[in-house]
Amino acid sequence: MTGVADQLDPARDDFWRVRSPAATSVPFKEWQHFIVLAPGLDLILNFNLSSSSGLGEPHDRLGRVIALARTSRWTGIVDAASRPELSRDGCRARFGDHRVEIRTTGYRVVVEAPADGIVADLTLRPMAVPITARRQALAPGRRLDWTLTARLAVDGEVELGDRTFALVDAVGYHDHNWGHFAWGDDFTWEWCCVLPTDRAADWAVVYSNLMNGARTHLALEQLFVWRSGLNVLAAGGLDVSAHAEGRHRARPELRLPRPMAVVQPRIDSDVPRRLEVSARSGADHVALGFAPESLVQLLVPSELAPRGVVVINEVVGPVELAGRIAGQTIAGEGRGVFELVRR
Amino acid sequence: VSSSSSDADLPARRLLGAALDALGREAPAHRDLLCGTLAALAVNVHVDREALGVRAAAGGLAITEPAASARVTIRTDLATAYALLDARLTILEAVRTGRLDARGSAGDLAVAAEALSVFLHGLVRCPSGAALLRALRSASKES
Repeated sequence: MTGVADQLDPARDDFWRVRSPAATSVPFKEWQHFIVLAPGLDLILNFNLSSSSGLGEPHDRLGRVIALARTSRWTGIVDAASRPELSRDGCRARFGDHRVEIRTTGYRVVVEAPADGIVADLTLRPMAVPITARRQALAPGRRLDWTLTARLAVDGEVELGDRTFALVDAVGYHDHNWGHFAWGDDFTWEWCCVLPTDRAADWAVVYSNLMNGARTHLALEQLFVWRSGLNVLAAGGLDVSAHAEGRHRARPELRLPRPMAVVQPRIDSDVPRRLEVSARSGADHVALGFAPESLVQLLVPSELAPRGVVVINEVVGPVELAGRIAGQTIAGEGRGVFELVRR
Repeated sequence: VSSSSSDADLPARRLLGAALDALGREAPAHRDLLCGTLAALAVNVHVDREALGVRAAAGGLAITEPAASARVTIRTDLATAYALLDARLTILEAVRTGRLDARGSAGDLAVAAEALSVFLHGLVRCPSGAALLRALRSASKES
């Protein structure tokens, strides 16, 4: 994948925007999201900026770092930083004790929360061509830019309490989102990334949909596949279909931020027991089956309703992938991180 | 928020006062909603050895001495309050185990529960809410 990696430059393409050119009165939001999957470890890290206005002015920025780690159980934090610091070029950010650097060759992510049993220092090198969706309509007047790198190589160290994971060439995923919307707007999304359990396998898959809050209207549904760093399948509309079966009955293992669990005691996660997605493009086709293993909930206060809560389910589990692309079979076991937003 | 005595050795009064100040400053819609909810209901709160009253007043919420007219009385301790906000205990479990006691008519208790919900929803929307939670954690360890 050297040829692909040579074309990638996160510092050129993936810097913090901090504000959108379309400054409006609708709150501005931006986040850099990282997923790391290694034997015995699922790690989700999110550096998140939000502004009450649409302008993202420095005095009006609230930073949050979300770190969720699963070994035999989940641990996690949502750490607020009232004054996140960003460099003028948008390539370096410090959120309290946590940092993210966007470099020519990749990303460095540092999470320092020893009191909560989470410390990580990671470098992530893109191994797949990124794709960007510009100004996707979430809801009327609400737009979100989304750029994603479906596969990265991850090195570094993760300390979770008394356990240390030394990562060498682990697999990762990254996306970066920015735009204008309010939590509680009339939308939900379902999104996932799937990476192979066998690191020698060269594929990566991303699926997403956008629906209204009641999930009665599907605005967008798409599935992408990469092989050897190249995007080899992009399908949308009627070429993608998803089927959810039953209901995952297990309780969320963690609900964050912790005080939100008091205001949202209802734990119904509305997560299926099994989710199957298939996609085709011409003669190419893939199908994946996801069996949720466990989940955590992020409980986000609605910005529209005084007592509204938006629930973001972060669900992990095994995925089977099978298909045929460009005359070649693509198949194998993977691990999926699914994000199911419920309003 | 008004307070009628020194807060130095009264952690519950100090923390509740700081929380109500934060609500007024950072979540005014919730402060107004809470004032409306408590307009017709004075509540007394006993936390460890502290006793205080909470009532709606002109321009905000007031912490007072316990009111003889209070129709709802809540008894708990700082450790329980922190355990609830740290999600190590549910309100139901706290009531069942006697760590939280709420007295009043069914109707008044429903209004008090409504007020608590508005108060907490406001606090989780305050950027300073995390610092307040850390202060509660420290105070609960000292109590």
